[in-house]
Amino acid sequence: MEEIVQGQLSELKKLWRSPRMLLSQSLNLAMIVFSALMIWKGLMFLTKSESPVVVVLSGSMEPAFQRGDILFLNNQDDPIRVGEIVVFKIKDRDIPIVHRVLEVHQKEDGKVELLTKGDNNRVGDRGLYAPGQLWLNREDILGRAAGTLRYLGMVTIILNDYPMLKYVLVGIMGLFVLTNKES
Amino acid sequence: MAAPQVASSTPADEEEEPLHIDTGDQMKVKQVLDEAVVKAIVDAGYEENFFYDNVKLALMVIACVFALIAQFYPMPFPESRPLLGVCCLAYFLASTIIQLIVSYVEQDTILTTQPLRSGGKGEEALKVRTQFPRFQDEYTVFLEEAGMQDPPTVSSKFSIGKVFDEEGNFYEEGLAREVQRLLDRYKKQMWDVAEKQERKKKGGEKKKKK
Repeated sequence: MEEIVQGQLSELKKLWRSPRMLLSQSLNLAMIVFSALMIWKGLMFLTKSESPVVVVLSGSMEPAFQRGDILFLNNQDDPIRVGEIVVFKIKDRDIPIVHRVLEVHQKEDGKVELLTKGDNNRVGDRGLYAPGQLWLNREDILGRAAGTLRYLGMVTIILNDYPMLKYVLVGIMGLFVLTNKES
Repeated sequence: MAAPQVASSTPADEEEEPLHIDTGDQMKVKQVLDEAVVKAIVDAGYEENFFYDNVKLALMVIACVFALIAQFYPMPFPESRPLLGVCCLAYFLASTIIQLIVSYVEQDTILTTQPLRSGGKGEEALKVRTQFPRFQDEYTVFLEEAGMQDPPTVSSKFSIGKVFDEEGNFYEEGLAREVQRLLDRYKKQMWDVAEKQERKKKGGEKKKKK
């Protein structure tokens, strides 16, 4: 273990001496990070959704979706129908919620009002909405569930419950990228 | 307490111990050998040509700029969708070009040099390629003229056991000598024999067709 650390440290020292190498390796590291970022932005562009990939955080949609499932969303312009599974965010709250659409009402001016409910819940979501809010609007919807990867989201949940792990993980990966030169 | 006598090019090197690595790590071995070959050629008086290196660096900077714009431009999401589209396109385009350069232009090249002084025969810009296939112990260095379509080459193929001992110590002077020998062959235009025969064959066929 010590040898590996020593090895990495001496590689870093070598890098320091050559500015061209340092620039090259730093840009390589940046590109790796940015590639992930741009894939995310690309998905945002294609799906028109603010958050094209979400993790199911609660068991309120069992047995369809479990806590820890990854969901891919699509937020195209076609109208939302009753029975579709949507992900929405309540204004001023961070956490996205995955539930099914129970009621859809459309007014003369085209404005849409929605009511949602989790499959595994006993009542509709009015209790979850902001105080005084009776309906969801189209803007609150992040998108419809269009695909899923089961259980892979558990990693995100663990990283969120133990934030230190995030820094440790990123630190280790960064160190290895900076010091590993591949042709 | 006498310090070991090591013939090296800079005073700083004398303080370093001979490089010691795990010879089973194929990537690391190639990396060490490639770096030593580059050093040997630069020590022989050649200057490195950074053209494609600079192109790649510039492209990476451009890509990063677009990524930063996409992330930090102060426009909320639904309105910023066209901007995002442009940034993503530019980013992946730059990324693809970099990949194409690495895969098709550079391939197995580890060094391109500027021509020596006059650039006359034997002093043109050099291209150095190396091959070190997986699970084998033979490392090959190729020297050829840079910029030519299908240049004649000189090559040297040897087992890594020639420059590494059982404990993984690297015998850099041995490699430097081998590279120097290769450079001398190049200057005298003593191209590889098997290659010469292939060229003669190709030349013969062309004459027959006419």
